Amino acid sequence: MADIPQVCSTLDEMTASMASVRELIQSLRDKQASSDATNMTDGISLLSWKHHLMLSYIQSLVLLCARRAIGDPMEDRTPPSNPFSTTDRDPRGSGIGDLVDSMIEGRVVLEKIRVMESRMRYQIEKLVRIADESPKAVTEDPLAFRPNPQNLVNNEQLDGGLGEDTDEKAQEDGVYRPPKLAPMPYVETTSDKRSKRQPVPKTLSSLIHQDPSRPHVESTSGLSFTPALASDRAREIQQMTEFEEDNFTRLVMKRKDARRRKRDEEDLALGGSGMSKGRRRGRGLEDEFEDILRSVGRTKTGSIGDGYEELRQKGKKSDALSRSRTRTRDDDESDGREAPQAKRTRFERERRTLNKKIASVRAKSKQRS
Amino acid sequence: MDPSAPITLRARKFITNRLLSRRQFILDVLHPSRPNVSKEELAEKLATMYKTEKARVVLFGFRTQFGGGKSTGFALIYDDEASQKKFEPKHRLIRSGIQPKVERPSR
Repeated sequence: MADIPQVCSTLDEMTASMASVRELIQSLRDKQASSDATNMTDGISLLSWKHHLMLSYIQSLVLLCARRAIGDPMEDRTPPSNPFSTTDRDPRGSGIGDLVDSMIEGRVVLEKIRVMESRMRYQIEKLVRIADESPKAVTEDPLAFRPNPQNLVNNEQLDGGLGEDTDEKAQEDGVYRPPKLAPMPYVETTSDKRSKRQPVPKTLSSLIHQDPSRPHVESTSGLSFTPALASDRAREIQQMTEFEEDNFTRLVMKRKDARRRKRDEEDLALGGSGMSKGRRRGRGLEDEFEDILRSVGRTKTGSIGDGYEELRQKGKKSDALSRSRTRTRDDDESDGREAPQAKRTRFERERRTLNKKIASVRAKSKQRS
Repeated sequence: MDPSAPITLRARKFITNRLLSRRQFILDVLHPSRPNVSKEELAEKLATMYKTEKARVVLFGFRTQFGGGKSTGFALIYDDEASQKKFEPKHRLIRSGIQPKVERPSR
């Protein structure tokens, strides 16, 4: 008996809350009719889909409770024919089983949405922050947008009107830079060829310095020391000392180089050649025949050969790469001139013509007189 | 080793440098039976030879030849203190004592 007023009060509460809910729904309906926020032609955003899903979940739950309260069995269902991914899936029927199915579907989709949301969390938070805090325009703030790799494009790649600026910049330099459109073949310069040629044998080159028929070179005061100018190292060291004396400084070298120089100077003072690695090559009779042994052809292992190595190498075929090259060295070398002459500039040419004219005029005047 | 053995000083490539107001030359020191001669002793001898003060003589870059007995270096003789202070690099002024060394805290 004490339950009856409780039940009545609960029922009254329920009617009152339902009336208030009805009012709310009426206002929402009016809002929906007036606004276009529910315009779904362009598709639905992820976040509003979440709201709709939850709403439908709640609706299904309520309906299920109502049906169960009535006493319908849980098995009636009319599932839709098309699978989930097709866009024009016909709606489910209204049996209880359909309600359960739709709830399950909504649950699964909500979980997937959660995963996607976690991936987009940074962007969503940023947009929310912007919406909350700043009334100013978003476009003014450069940090508002995500990094744009297009901004990293080089200025020279921009086409159209900006091409003229790059041309002016290149011309200001004074140096002509051709546009890099197609790959160009590598052309050897004369210095490359000269370095790749076989070096002159030392016996021949040392004759220039040690030729007995030429007069002996000495300084005027007789004070400068004359090392054995046969080896390259001796000449190098002498050049170093000359430089130091001329320029009133001492050369700055690394410790290793300084020690090597000192050692070579001592070696030269004692009459040696000054080459630090002389001991390693060859055996026997090195002191006297050093030059000859150095220029004699060596085998691949580095041991001293019998002097006919060069002849043997000439008979052999060279490797496939050099054979495939159609331009041989003879074509380049027999251009007609051995020593490269200086380019005859316009000034030189005009000078020559003028000299000839003067000479001819002089000759004519002499003839007359 | 005789510390009082006579030394021979020879000046090579003597140049009077008017632009830097000094006389510069390469100095050959022959000191047989003696180890290297100190720069102070050489400066004294040069001062008497060229009739200047000892402070005006600047010596640097001395290297002994192999075997000993001869060393070669560079010598500058300034006309006056003002030009020396103007043209000499700081480390050589500190060496000769004209400028004091400024101790800076190391990093």
